[in-house]
Amino acid sequence: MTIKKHIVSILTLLLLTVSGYAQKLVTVTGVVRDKMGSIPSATIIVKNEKSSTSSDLDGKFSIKVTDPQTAVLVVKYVGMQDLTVPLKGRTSGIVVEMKESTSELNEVVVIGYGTQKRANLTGAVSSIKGTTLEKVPTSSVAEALVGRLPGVQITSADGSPGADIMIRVRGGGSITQDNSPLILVDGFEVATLNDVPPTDIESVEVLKDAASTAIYGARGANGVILVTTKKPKANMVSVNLNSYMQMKTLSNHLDVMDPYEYTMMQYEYERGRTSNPTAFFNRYGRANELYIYQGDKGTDWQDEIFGTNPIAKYLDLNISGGSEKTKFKFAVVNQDQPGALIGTGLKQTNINFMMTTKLSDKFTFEYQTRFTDQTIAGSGTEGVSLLNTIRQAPTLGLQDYMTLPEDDTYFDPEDYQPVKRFDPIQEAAKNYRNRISRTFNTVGALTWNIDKGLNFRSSFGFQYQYSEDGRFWGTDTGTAFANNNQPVVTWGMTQSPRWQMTNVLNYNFKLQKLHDFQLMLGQEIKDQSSANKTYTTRYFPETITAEKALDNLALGTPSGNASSEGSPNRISSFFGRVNYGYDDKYLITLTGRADGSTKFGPENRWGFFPSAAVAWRVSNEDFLKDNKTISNLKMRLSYGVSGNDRISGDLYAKYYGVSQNRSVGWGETSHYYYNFYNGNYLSNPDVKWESTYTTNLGFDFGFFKERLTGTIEIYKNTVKDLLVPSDIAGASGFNKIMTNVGQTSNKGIDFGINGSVVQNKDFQLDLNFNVGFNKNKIDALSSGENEWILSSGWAGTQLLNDDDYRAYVGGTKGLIYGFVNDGFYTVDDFEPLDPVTRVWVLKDGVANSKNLSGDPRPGNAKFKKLTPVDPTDSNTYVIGAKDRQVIGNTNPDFSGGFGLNAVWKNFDLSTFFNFVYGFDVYNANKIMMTSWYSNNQNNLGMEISLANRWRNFDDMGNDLRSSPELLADFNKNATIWNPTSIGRPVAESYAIEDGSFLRLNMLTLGFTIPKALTKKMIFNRVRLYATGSNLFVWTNYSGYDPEVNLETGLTPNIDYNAYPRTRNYTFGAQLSF
Amino acid sequence: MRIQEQEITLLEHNYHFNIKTKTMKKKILLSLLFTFLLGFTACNDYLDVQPATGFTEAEVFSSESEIQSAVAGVYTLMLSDDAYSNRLAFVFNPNTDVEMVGVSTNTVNVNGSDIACFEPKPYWTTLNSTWNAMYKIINLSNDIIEGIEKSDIYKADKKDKASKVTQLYGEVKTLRAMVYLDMIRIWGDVVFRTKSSVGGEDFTVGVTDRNKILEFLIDDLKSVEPLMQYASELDYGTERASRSFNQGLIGLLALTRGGWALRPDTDAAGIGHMVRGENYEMYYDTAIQYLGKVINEKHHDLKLSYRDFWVKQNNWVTPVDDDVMFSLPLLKSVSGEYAYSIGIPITAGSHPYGSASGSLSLCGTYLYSFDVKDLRRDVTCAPYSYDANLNQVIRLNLAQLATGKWSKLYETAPLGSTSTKSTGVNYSWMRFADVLLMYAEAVNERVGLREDAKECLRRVRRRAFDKADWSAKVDAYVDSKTTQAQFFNAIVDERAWEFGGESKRKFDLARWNKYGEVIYNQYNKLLNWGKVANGAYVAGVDNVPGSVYWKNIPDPNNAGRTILDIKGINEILYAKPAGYTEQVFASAWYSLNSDTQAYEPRNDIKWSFRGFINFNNASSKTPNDPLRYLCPYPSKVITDHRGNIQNYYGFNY
Repeated sequence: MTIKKHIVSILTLLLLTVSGYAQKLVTVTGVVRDKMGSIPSATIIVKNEKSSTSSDLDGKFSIKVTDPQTAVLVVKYVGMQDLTVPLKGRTSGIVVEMKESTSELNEVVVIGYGTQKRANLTGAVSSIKGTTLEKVPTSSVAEALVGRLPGVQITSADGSPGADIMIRVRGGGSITQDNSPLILVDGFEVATLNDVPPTDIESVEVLKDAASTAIYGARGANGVILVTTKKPKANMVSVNLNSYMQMKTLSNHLDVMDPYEYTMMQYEYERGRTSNPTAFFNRYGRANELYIYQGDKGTDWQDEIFGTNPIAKYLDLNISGGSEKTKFKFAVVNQDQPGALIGTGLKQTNINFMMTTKLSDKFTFEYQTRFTDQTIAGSGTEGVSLLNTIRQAPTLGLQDYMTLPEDDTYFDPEDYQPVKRFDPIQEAAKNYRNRISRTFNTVGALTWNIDKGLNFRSSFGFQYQYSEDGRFWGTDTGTAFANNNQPVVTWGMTQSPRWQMTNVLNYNFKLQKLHDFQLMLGQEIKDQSSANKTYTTRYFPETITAEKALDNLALGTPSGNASSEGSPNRISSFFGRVNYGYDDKYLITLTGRADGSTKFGPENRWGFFPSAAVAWRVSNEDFLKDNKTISNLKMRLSYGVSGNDRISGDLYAKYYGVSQNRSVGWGETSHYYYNFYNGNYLSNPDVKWESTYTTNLGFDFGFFKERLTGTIEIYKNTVKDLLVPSDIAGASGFNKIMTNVGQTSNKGIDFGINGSVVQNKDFQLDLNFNVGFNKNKIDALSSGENEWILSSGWAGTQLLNDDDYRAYVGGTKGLIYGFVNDGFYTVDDFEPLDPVTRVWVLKDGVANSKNLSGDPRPGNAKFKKLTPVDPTDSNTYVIGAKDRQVIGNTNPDFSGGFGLNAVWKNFDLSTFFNFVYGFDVYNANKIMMTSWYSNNQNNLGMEISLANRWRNFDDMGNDLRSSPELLADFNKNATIWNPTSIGRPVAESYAIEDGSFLRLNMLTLGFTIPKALTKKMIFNRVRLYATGSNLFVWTNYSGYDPEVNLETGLTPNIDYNAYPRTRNYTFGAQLSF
Repeated sequence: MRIQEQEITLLEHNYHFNIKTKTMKKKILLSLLFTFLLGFTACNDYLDVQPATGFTEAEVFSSESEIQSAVAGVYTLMLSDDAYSNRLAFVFNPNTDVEMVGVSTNTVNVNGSDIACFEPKPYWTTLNSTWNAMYKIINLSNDIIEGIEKSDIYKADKKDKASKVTQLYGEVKTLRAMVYLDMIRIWGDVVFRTKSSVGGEDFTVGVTDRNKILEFLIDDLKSVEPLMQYASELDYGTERASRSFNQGLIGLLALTRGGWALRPDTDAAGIGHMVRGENYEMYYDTAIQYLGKVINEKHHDLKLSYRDFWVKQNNWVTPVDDDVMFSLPLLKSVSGEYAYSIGIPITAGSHPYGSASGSLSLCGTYLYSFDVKDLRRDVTCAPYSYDANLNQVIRLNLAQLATGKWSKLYETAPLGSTSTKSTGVNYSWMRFADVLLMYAEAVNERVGLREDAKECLRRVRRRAFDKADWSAKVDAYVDSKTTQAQFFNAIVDERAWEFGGESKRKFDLARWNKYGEVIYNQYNKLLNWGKVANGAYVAGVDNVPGSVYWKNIPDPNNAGRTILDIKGINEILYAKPAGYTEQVFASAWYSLNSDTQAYEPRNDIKWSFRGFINFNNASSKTPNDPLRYLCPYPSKVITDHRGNIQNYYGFNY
């Protein structure tokens, strides 16, 4: 920490010594314009002098120079080529005609610890500009990025506000639970992209190959996302306002049974159990009365919990300005995003202040501070379970038809016990959750330009995050019930400080005008820690509201508190990079980084990650230099290693922790006791770095003066010592262990292309397209096994054979494993029915599915026998655990997106589609909606409606089970088994569906009010727009949305109780003053 | 700090005078280099971290009191719902002729909360979570045993007499043995671990023969027994595993080792067969030796009356020198279901006792097995519940008879009107009466009727009867058992009466190889009672209670409340006495099925034992058929052990 003190004292002294001095100056005036007209806000500086200014609304400027004879003006504007204008004695009427920068080749791309011209890149870097993101009104950056970067797959776990967002660069090098990329905002490592408002972004870069990511060593294996926020511009003060309103609606609807279908289904089940189901009759009526439900629409609970169509609001206000010497930016973003599910929502305010100041010719100081205040309401589908809700009965039965007698003389209210109606609003109030998170982040950096080409930059950043999680369980919830059925509150608080210090020395020089060197040497230390405290209070008065209970904990009885604070997570690093270019034709990059991480034991603590890359700018060779068609052609080849230490801390050593939770009751008092510090994970002293070896071959091309540009990347990465939390036998006393399980590899191609099809004054049209192909392979498992058995656990251990995923050595990960459906038993599968015993006996050689769908009888689900027949085994036809195979592959063949941007006069239109093709989704919701698992008068899906399913009772409730001919005839059109036969969840081929989809992700129409009009008001620019997001999905998938829990670790693509995506309509305005 | 000042001066020079010299550059570069070096030298310490809320082995095993807190961790794990707070307290022990869960359908329960009808399934969550919970206890015990062995305190101890640290050492070993015993009684052969788990170990091992495990545990407990302390010397008495409990447990382990057990057939689809442990005589002798120690060392006795004993239990009082040998120390308002799930049902109301579900039931026929004068009957069997005003309500049926040993109404300091479970009433895992009867059983087995064995039986029965009845019900009764077989049967009966509702019957019947026989008889008994009550003639069955009759009378002890006066229990009645209301009992057990138009037993007779005997297979069953009382290994265990563990007893089919 002494270093930090030193920096502070330097700065203090420097600030004191800064002083201005005056001189006699001459004023020069002029105007900045391009072929379209005047350019406001262009920056004008005087070369080698201190003065600077910017053009006004009409493009006019005035600036002071010391000597008009020798002075040279430098004019800069975003998207234009920099222009140097020697004054040659002129002092007025200077017309500066700017030209658009012709290509993105000169565009500067942010890379690790520095920037690079795109033309000189040797690694695989995708980037997107803030101007593109601005057109997508979303609450988070990640959402705006979906489908736009080749080889980068972004999905949110589900549609809830503040949902975890999964970002996978090239399929995720690692396949651990946390294979998300490293995210840095202005060089500072952060945990999530959600803290940065999308409108505050200058650019986002994704580093994809090891040549680019190796500089981040330990943390780079899963790709690196560099977010650069908008920097203040020297300007007269400018004010920008961007505001929108957004309406959310549920984008899809599941078809569930209406009251008639429902009561008929329940009747069939109850009659199957007993000939006289009196409880059913009392509630719903007798079979011959059930017709009363026909035509009754009942309650569709989806409408009840999603029907509110909430309106989200977003407001971004930013002010920036300053002189060339000191610039500042101040931005406030406020958003209110109520969730489509009742009782959920997100509110967030970001305040961002940034300042850069030139302390002297040699020193520049940058300072930035961000504050985020976020509140997430609701516990998502954990509180109000989506499945519980859609499984609610659509009718209460006869009670819905009952009217109380007018004359209540004979009515004893105590005799009447109405059935309690499920109320999702109350349910949400009873499962209350409110999460508050406040993040303060501050970074200061001092750059010292020691000499030409030599500079030293030292930065120190600190972030403090404080979060609160308040939970309340009202009466009748499970938690309350365990505590005398009185409300319970758990209030937790987490403090997570993190800091990092980085020192980087850069030295750039040219030798003989041909040899271009860029050297970089750096050192960095990072420290992250987290301390958590949780307080549980119970026995609140039964009628208390959640807010009141959380605000007045003293109304309850304290029942437990706990604290936890793991080891700080520290990294100490040394790194360096050499870039060498010969004549702008041949480029070489070498990087190396050594990292020490506290995640590993002393033996395995340090890792070294080198990389090398070469590039050949073919278009700069003489034979192509003057080619009219090819404007740019570059080949790149890189190889390198990056690491992954993204596991929880303290997994390598055994510690004990202390607790009083549910303690021993010696003497009826609570005692503290010791247990293992980590009760779930067995410590593993051998755990070590996961390393990713990447080879990347890339081609960048541009045709027709860069009107058509694109990139192809071919890559292969191999992950060695893959770090995975593995299940271990419960006999160890633990459930999991973190181990280096083996080796996997990914091969693939990323392709992106952009075309400016039309470029007129009044009409511009750009098209873009990108696609990524990725193939995953398991190369080896360190246990020596060929098969990797995995359990998703979506149904706990209730699932019949809960190991429902596989990965094979030589094959891929993410294979769904289970039984294969074979329709249902028909009368023909059985011996003639014995009228006395009335027991159905299967014919010889017919598979017996009794373990899955009960003792076989006509109409019960039937499964395929996959194992060979063993004549010596009397049970050979009984379907067992071995009669399973791979029934689904969750790895997509390819994914990507395409879109267009068009501008016609004052209108702009942009649209974007994204797609993922060739992957399977495990529709667990469907299993729940079409089987009898934990069905207690629950509603079911229409897949098994009266028209579709096998029925054992006719419309009037006559039992057909003992009349084979009648039964067969009645069911001759049945297409699906009787759902009552499947009493528990089964991983079956029926639930595996192709998830391929094409989504109309976004469509925006904007209108910029002509300047002539806006200028009369005080505005500089006014743009109004309307956007629709997630407008349409083309898919054959039968659930809410096929894009669900994609790529989540080793058991992905399960659609179980996930919060469905919404369709959003947005109306907004962007104003600048 | 000096470097800094130097730098600052440099900077100022730079700024004001723009001096550039080569020497300065060098200095600058040197100072930069220094910063880098600073980073290097600091980094070794920088990367040595320890969690703020983590303790090392050296810290935990530093003193007796800290070691006791580590041992408290073992007890705490034992008190989880998946272990002794719920599952082992009452989920794994029915159905027998004593405890009974009525199962009224032939459909297998998906969630697997009932194991009662002998058709457990490998995928049942309960099995997996209990398996895991038990091994968590075992692993922590193994770790603490190693920790104590390595600790300075233990090393320095002379080990010539019981000390705090040797007691703690023996205590953990005793607890570990108890957990293993219960696992063996539930699963048969299990995975045997005696070392603290470490990363890199191969856990995909197979199971170890239960006899090997029991032999290890017996020797292990013998080795620590001399250095353990008696309950009266311990800070929490019988809430900790004492020397006497160690001795009693050795007896039980030995009887289990020397008893019968279900062993797999070569065909995994077969039900299995009953085998007696080889060399069983030696283990019965071990039992006699160690159970004899408990009796002779006189640290425990049956001083309190049977009723007072249970009243005290319900009031969280556990005397150190009476019946309780070891009691699981549940914590009031935090854990424990005795007096809630196991006890007399109470409807919540304005009264301060809260509710009780009384979901663990005794079989209705059990009530009639008692001697009318047996004081234990009315303490153990409660054919009633309490309504919201605490009036007694008749509640007696085939599988509906509350265990009266536990009741919230015994509480002198009630837990409050909304209280539910988490009663904190301890689970008496072993009682002195158990030791006496095991001793009597072992002696009878080895040497036949011997005076000390008879005296043990007498001691248990003396507490069960009024002093006036002793000559008939204690002395004459015991003397009437004149053969080894008669005496053994008397032990079988006595244990049923003494331990009703205490989770012992199932495992007793198994080790005696009487489980199949008893369930066969029980099924037929229920069937025949139903038939006879409906007027049929069944040879050897007469006088069955078709109905009982009740009326409300004022509660003599509590003004304003009523209790029941029930007729038809002490003597069987065939007509309703005037002023009483009829509660149909065995008459309802056999009736006309409207669907099949045939007279049939009630559903809960048909299916409550269906994994062994049921309505479909009863004609082909014999009392000598093996009963599959064990549970299958959980599916997750089969998967996790990668083929080294397999299910037998037909559990795969």
